[in-house]
Amino acid sequence: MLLAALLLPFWVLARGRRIDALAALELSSVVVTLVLLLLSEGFRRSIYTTVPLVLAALSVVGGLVFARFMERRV
Amino acid sequence: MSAHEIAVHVLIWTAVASELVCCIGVVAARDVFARLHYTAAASTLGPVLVAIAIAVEEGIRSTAAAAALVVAVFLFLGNPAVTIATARAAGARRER
Repeated sequence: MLLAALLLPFWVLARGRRIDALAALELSSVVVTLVLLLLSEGFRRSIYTTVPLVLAALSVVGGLVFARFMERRV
Repeated sequence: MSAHEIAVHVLIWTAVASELVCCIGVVAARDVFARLHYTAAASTLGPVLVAIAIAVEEGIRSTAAAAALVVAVFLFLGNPAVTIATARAAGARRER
């Protein structure tokens, strides 16, 4: 269901303005993090929780970099 | 179904419902500032509920619960900064 919900921000990513796409990208990265967390729990592989952990950290840093870039350049 | 399982199901489905509402809100919102409300809400409620659900399911001292709590804390503390930075970028673009 979460993967199906991802189609909505993807639609904004594809069709919206650049700054709207950035907001949709931030939302989709949160949803993907939750999907990976739930998959690792569902498959009972606690080692896989490293992946959402890294994605959560990278999505925050990436969002900040994108926002600064769009503020100054694009 | 035990009370333990019911609690986990309620937490997971509440998290999924909140993410679904936020995804619909991002599409339905008029401008970027309205969209950012939904982006910020998605990064607070959903991850915290999922982390609590995993902690209830696996036990608070398990590796999975610890990782889920760290993910929730990352998103809970980091995404408001991203939201503010995005709003500042949108404001700067509007002034140009």
